[in-house]
Amino acid sequence: MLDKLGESLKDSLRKLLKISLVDKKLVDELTSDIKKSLISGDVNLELATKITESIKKRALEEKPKSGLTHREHVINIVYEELVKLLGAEPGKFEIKEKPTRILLVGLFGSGKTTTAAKLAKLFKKQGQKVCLVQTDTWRPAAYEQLKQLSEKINIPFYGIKDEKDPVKIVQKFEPDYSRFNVVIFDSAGRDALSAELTTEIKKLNQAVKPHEKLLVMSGDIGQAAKAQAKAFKENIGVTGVIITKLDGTAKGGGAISACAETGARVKFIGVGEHIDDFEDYEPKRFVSRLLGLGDLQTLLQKAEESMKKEDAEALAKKFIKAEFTFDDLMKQMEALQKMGPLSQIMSMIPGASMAKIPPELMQVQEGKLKTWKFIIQSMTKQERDNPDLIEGSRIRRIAKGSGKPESEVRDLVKQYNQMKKMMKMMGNQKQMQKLQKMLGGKMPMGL
Amino acid sequence: MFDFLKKAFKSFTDKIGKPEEKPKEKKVEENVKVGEEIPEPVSTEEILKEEEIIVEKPKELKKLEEKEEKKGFLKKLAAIVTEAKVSDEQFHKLFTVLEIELIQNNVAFTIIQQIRENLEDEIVGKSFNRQKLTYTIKKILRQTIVDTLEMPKPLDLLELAKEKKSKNEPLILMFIGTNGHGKTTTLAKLAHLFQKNDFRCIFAASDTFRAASIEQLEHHGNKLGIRVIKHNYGSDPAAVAFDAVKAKDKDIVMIDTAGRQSPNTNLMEELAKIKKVAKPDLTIYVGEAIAGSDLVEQAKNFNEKIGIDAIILTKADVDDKGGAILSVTQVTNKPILYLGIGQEYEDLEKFEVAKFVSKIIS
Repeated sequence: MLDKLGESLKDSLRKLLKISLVDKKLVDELTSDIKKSLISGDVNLELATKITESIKKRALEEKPKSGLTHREHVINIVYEELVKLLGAEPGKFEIKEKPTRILLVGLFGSGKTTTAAKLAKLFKKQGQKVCLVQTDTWRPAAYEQLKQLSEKINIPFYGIKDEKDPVKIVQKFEPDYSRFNVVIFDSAGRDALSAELTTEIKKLNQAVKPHEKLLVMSGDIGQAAKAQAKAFKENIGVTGVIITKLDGTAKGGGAISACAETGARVKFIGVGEHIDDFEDYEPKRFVSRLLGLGDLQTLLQKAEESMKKEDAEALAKKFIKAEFTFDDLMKQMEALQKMGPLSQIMSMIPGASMAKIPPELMQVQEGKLKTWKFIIQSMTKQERDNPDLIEGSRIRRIAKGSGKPESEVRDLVKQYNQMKKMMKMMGNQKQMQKLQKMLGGKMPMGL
Repeated sequence: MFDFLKKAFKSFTDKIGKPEEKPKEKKVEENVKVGEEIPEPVSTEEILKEEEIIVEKPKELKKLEEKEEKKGFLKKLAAIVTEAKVSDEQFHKLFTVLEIELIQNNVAFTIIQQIRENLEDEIVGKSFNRQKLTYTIKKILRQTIVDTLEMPKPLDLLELAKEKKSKNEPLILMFIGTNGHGKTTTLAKLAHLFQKNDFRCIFAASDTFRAASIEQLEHHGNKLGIRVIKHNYGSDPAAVAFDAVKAKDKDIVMIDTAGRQSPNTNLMEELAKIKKVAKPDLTIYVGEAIAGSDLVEQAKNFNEKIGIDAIILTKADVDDKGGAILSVTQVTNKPILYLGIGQEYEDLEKFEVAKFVSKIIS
C-alpha cells in the first residue's frame, strides 16, 4: 500500500538529499512536490494541503533537534507529519462485550464479504467463538458466497436465502447470538449518497445494534472516498476502517482521507485474495516502508546505545572499503542485535531503502545471525583476520567446534564474500557515502 | 455526471477573464459559460467545426488539440485582458490551480502536461481580445479531450455482433479486471442489451476462484434466460471458456473471469491462458470510475500483460468526476464503450465522446 505514493515522495526527498542548504525556496518546492504526490495518490485536497502547510511551517520555524542537520530535520518533519496522517497508533481491536456485534458496511465491490470471512478467521485464531450473518439481500449469490466461505473456515453461518428484508434476517437469529463472542454482520454494498440505500442501512443498524461499525474501503478508491465516508459516518457512525486490496497497485490515499474524514482508525488491512491474507494495521511500519525513510531520532539513539562511536566509525570505514574481517562482522552483529530486527533498522535509515538491498538477503541474515556467531567464535584469530584461509579441513574443524554442519560454515564464508562484494559496490555509490556521512559514521551500513 | 471536471474547467476560464480577482480554488473550468451556449453536439466533427468557425485560423487547431482542461483558466485570462497579452506569470499562476484540480479529478499527468503545453503555445505572450481568448481556450481544451478520447476506428459492440452474426460466427467477449469492480454485473447488463437486440448469449463462468461467483452468474442467467457454462470451483477457467465457445445455439459468448490484482503474475498468467484458449474477439477491461489514480495503473497493467481492446467503466453514478475516463483512455489508447450507472440491468449507458466533451466543456 502506498508504495507508488512512496516512490514519488522519495523522488522529492532525493532532491533534498542532494542539496546542502535548506531555504524557503527549497521548502516551498519540496512541499509543493509532496502535495502533488499526495493528491495523485488519491489523498483528499484539503488533507494534503493541511499536511503540506504543516510541514512547511515546521520546516521553516522549528530549530533542528541536536544531532540533526537542517536537512535531516526536514526529512524527519515529513516523516512525523505522515505518521500523523496515517495514525500514530496501531488500530487495536478489543473484544469487550460478549457477544461483540460487528457490522461491515461499504460501497459496492469494496470487499465486505471476503473481509467478513477474513475477520471471522482472525478472531477464530484468537480463540473466539465467532459466527457470520449475511444481511446482503441485494446482490445475487451474496448468500452463497458467505456460506461457502464460512464452510471453508468452519464457522457457523446464518442467513436466509431469497429473503428480501435484511432486518428480518437479523431478528430471526437474535436468540442465537448470545452463544458467540463475536457476531459479524455482512451488509449489502451501497452508495452512501443514495437516499434509498441510506434508509436501509439505518434500519439495519438499529436492528443489529453493533458495537463496532467497520467501514470497508477498497485501497484503490479515489477522491470519492471522502464523501462516502462522510455519508456513512453521518448515517450510522463509523468506529473503524478496513482497507482492502492492498496487494495490488493501490495507493490507499483515498481510504486514508476517509479515515481523516471520519476520525476513525484503520483497524485491519486486506492484502490478498486468500482468507489468511489479512493483517493488523501498523502505521509506523507502514510509513517506513512508504517513504524509505524513517525515524532518524530513534535510529541515532539506538545506534549510540549499542555501539561506541569510535568503534562504529572505524567499522563503517572498513565496510565502505570492503576491508572488514570476521571480527568486524561479529562486532557489528552484536551491535545490531541490540538494536532490534534488521528490517526495522533498515527502514529507519533514511535512504537505505533506496539502496535496494535484496530483502531475501536481509531475512537470511536475520535468521542466521546466531548461527554465525557460534561459527565465528570457533575460528582461530588467524582465520578471522584472513577469511581466505578457510578451506577444507579448517571448515571441518570449525563445524565440529561450533556444533554446526559444514554447509553452514561454507555458507557463512560465501555470504561473507558476497557481502564484501556488495559493500564494495555500495561503497562506490555516492549515495551510500553520503548516507554514511549523514549518519556521522555512527551506523555502518548493510548488515 | 462529471460536474467536477466541468466546474474546474469553467472556473479556470472564468478566472482568466477577471484580472482583479484572486484566483480561487475551483476545480473545473467551463468554457461554455464564458462564451455562447453550445447546443448538444451530434458528433465530434460538429464540435470541432463550431470551434473552427469561431477561431478563424485553422492552423491553430492543431496546437490546440491537446488542451481540454483549461477553461476556468480561460475565463480568468480573458478577464485580465480585454485586448492585451497574457503574461507567462499570470498563466502559470492560474494553471497551477487548474493542475491541482485536474489531479484531484484523476486526470493523468501526461494529459495535464499536454493541456499545459497546448495552452502555453497558443495564448502566452499573445494578444487577444477577451472573447476570442475564451473561445481559444475552450477550443484547445475541447480539442485535447477529443484527441485523447477518439479512436481512429470507432468500435460499436452491437454493430460488431451484427457483423459476426451475418457471417454465422459467434462474437466472443472476455471480461477482465480487478476484484470488485463489477465484471459480473456488467456482463449481465450487456447480455440484457444484446438480448433486446435479438442476440442469443451464453455465459462462461470462468471465475472458478471466488466463493459463489458461479451462483452469482447463474442467478443472472436464470433471470435473463441465458445458459451458463460452468465447471466446479477450483477447476481450470480456460476449460470453461473453451466449452462455452464450443457450445451450440449462440451468437455471443461472454466469459466472466476472476478479479485479479495486476501485480500477481501467476493469476495474470491464468487470464492470459483463458485468452489464448478462447481466442476472444474482444477483451474488455472492466474498471470502476470511483477508483482513484490507481485505475490508470491497473488498466495499463492489464493492457500490457493480457492485452485489452475496449473498456467499460462501472459505478459512474457514484463518482462524477470524469477524469478517470480521460486517463484510462490515454494510458491504454483503447475506447470506452459503456458506463455502468446503477444497479439495474438497464443502467448501462453508451459512452459517446461528443456528449462527454459537451458535458464537461460547455
